[in-house]
Amino acid sequence: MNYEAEIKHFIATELLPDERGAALTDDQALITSGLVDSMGLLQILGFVQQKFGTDLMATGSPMDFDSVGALAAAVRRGRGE
Amino acid sequence: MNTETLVRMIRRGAALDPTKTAVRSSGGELAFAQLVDGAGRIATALAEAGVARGDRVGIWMDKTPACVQAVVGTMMAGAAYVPLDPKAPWRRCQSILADCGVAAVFADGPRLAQLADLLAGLAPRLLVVDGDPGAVGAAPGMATTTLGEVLARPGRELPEPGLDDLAYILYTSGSTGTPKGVVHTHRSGADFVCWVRDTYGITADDVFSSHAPFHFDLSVCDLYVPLGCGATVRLISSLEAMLPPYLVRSVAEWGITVWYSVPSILIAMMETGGLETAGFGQVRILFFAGEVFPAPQLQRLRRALPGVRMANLFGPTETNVCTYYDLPPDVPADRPIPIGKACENLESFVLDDDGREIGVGVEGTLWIKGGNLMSGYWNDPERTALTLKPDPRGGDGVAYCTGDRVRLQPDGDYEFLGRRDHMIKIRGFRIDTGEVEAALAAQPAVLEAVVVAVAGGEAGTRLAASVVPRAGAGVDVNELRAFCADRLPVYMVPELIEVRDALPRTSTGKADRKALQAAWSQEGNA
Repeated sequence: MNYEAEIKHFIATELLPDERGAALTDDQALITSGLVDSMGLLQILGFVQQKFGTDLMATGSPMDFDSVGALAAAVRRGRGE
Repeated sequence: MNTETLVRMIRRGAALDPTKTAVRSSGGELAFAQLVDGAGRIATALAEAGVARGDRVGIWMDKTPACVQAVVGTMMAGAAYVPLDPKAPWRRCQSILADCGVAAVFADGPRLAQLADLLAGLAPRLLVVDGDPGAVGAAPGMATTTLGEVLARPGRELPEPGLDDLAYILYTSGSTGTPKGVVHTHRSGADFVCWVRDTYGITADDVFSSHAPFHFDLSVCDLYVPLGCGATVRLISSLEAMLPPYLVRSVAEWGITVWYSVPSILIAMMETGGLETAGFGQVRILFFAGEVFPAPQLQRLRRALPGVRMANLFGPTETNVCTYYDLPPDVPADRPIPIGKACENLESFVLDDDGREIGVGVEGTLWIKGGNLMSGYWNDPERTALTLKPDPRGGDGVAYCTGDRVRLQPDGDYEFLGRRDHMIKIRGFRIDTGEVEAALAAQPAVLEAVVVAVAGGEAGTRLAASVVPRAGAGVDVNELRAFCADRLPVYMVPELIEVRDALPRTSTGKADRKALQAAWSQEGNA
């Protein structure tokens, strides 16, 4: 599964429904750049849990959250892929 | 009596073991020797740029080891640091920088792209960028350098600041829409720091967490108590602070022994972080401050960590901590705990509305006297004179009127009863509803705005704004919210906004805030 695409789609639809979401790359800093705030992070983690069954909040560290790529890698690890 | 400046304390702490880690973070760490040497180079660059004793230096950075160097370096140059909320909109930061007239600015991260806006109309002598100067955008027209360049050049010896030199200015919400700069010297900062160290027996073996941002006065304890004792401080980034389960695991991994924060993050660590089952690592002292800790949650925390010494630290930015209450082995779930007794280095007294000193059992306003007091509000003698007055009981010296309503209990502890003015706390953030009202009223379509605090929402309290449009104008709530978000930090943007033809009034013609609060509560229960 293309976790990167799924996560980007969620962010672009729910959090950044403008050109920033459309232009989002896998490596772009999400939170430290100010694009996504703490509420947004909670929504992303909720989406990831609901869609992929991985509870990143319970197991993850900050390094897992600051880009689409990092989130996707954390999901793969969580799913043992 | 303390005779050391904050800089002197840090140098002494560093001398205990210069190779020991002073500041640790997810992004790197600094040994004491590096901290002091780097800060010295920063001080030199500031001095060479013409930053003089008593000048102000704005710090608009994430909470990083480099930021700590900038803060300490500023003080080593004899100047006062003015920490700006890294998450605040540039307009609010600009009004702060304009108010205190900064001689230099440090900035990093996503804020670099906003520097041209921030600095328009200001004229600092030097801009220090921690990051890519290319990200700064339109040239602000002042000498610009990078932190890397500054640290690469050798430092030279500079005159040390004295006890009465300015150390930092912390801006807090002000009733007229412009934040107030609370001015502290090395004397007032160090008096507080020494009180913490001596009262709680802090040693070089302690490890402090730093949860609060540097523009919040909890940071004065977080930074200078450990550094002054040769102990390590572990900076918690705002990203890390969003993750309660990670924090609970990490407090144990990092070997934290002293934790200080607002109640809400402790509650989050219980609710979603598993603190009650996992415990709190080697924490031996847990301080909380900033707002009332909801009693049922405090009872949970107290019972979850029976071996930990816990204290409620109370006091406005104007005094830092002025009273404190060491928690007994259990606390009630149905009423808030006291704010305790005055710190040993301070004096407290309570006056009634006629200015008479009162004793046990009677409600009055708390006054504080002693070394922790601010010097005043920056460049605002009128507002300063409203609260910093010659001791009303007679005798020498000044005393600070906190505006807090308290009642002295027979056991010597004060009970906190509320505020006299429009200051409220949400999640530990200090908010003057007047500042929010001023922002709303600045929108051209708004005639009048009144903001009250109502129960509800995630934080337990939220801001509710009632707005009256100008004749013939329409107010779009979403546009108004966006207008506020451009001017106020996110926690000050009202969650609830309603448009009314007119506001309810009291008999003296003022907006009837109680009536508005009642109306909001009814709506919530409908």
